[in-house]
Amino acid sequence: MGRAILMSVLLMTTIYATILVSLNRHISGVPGVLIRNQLLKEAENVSDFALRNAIRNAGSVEFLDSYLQGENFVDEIIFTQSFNNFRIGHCTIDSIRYSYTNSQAHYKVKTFIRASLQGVNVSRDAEMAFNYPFLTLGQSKPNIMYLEMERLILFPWLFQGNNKLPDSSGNDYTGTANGFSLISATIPWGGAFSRYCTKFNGIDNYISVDPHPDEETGIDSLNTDASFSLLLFAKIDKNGRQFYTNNQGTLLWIPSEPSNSTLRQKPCAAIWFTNSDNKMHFAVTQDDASKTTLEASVSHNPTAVIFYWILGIPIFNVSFYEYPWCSYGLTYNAGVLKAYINGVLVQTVVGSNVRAYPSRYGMMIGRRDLRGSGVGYSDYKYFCGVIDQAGMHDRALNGSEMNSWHKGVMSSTLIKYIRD
Amino acid sequence: MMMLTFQMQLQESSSRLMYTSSMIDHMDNAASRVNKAFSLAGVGIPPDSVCVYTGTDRVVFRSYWDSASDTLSQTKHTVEMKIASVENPYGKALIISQDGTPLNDLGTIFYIENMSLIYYDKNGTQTTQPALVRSADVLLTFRRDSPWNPNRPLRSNIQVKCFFMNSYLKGA
Repeated sequence: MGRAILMSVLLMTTIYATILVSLNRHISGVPGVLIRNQLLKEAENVSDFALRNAIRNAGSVEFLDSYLQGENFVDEIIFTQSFNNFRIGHCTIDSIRYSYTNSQAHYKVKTFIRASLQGVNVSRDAEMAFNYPFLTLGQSKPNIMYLEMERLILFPWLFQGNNKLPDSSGNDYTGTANGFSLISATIPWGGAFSRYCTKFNGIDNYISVDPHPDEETGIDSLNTDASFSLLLFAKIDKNGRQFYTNNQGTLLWIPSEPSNSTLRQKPCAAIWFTNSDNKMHFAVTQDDASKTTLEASVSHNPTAVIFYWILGIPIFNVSFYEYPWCSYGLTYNAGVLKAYINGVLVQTVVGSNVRAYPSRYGMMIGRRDLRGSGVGYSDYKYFCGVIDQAGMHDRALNGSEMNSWHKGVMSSTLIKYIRD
Repeated sequence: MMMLTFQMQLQESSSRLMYTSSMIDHMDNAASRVNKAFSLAGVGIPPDSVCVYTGTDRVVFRSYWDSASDTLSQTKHTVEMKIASVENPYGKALIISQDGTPLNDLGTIFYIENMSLIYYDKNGTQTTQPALVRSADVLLTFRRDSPWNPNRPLRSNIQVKCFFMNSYLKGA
């Protein structure tokens, strides 16, 4: 009897020990975390291999030609090279995405890898870019004034000082946002951009830029002399303010003599849009005896809807980013006025070779600077839409520079990076 | 008696296993996350302007990479890594924040008691000057209550060498 019990105990002990050893070997020996680690390392190696090959391909003329197949290169090309069961070890290279912008020299690639072992699945993507476009920061030198409007301005009517837009040029021509904005005067561009722009409701929104008179001359603080440029980006609301549609709209206005009833409608330099005839106006008043105003007038058909209106109350269109940005530029040099839209010269007006009327009153963005008696509300021509990147150069930019500025804002500078 | 012993052995073995594997997994994830943060520092930034602050327990750097959405952005971001106090039961955590907001993707890593940073320049020489920093040794001390004796916490250390890959890509 005792021998039987002893044998039974030995047998059971052996069975328990076997179970424990088995448990240790199967569970604690190869836990999932180790498998995952092994897979990640493997995927990392395969990813490196794929990325290296993709970069080599992307830089090769033959590779891109094989994709284009005789077609011309367009502004942007994105295509995905997919693979059918391209396995290396436990990894599978699913696809490689190639992106080109502007030319073959500007590209990035992204690889997509997955790996699987004993029920554990991991995925890994990596990317690398060379000379890839990257938005410029709006710095343009030399310049006099440049408002990037990158600052988020919340409740500018509520908090004193929370309505300032810094001047990127370093010349301290700070812009001041005026008028009521329920939440924020500035908003992101949206879409692929992370810039901010400023809303103008066509009622009372505008930005004023105070003059900084030169200590030596006392005038010319915004330097409308013999050679300068004005530029800005905008989305013009195609309808303008409800019930006041003919008021649309002043984009940028450098006054000559805002209190003088004769000269206040003759700006030193200005850019505005008129709804009645769908025309953009670019003007410079010359400093001659008769204060001649040179004006370029160009047909322009805005498509944007920036505000919806309910009984005259503006409701901002959150989908405004779907409408294209346009740039507007004006250069004046030795009596020649040139108007640009989207970086392209659209009209030239030639006057006498004199300087422009000197500026002493700063700049207004979003309405005219009119002062004194006899000025009605409708005379201000408040702008309805959004504006960004408003600036002034101290010389006349040439056509190529205007085009580069437009493209620089809309596209980008170049960057290279790796994420692996 | 044998059944009881067996049960206890199983429980002990399971809890050790659970603790070990979860801790290894956690440490591995933490190391990967820290390494990723360093590798994406300095995208679009000149190499000598990447680091803003290089302390022994805190680092701040710049990048145009948006770590929140894990994509290239057109806005310059500031990324900070530091140990901060959090609510119980964790006590402390490694916080990775972008522009002052902790990241959603493992922006708060628990069970970390301490982080010690040693910085190196492109030649691998130890430095404290932010403009020269191109890599860092990150020493993380993990702390977790013992499953067997909560009064005796277990500590594990891990050391990761992280490189500013994007600074090297620009020639460092």
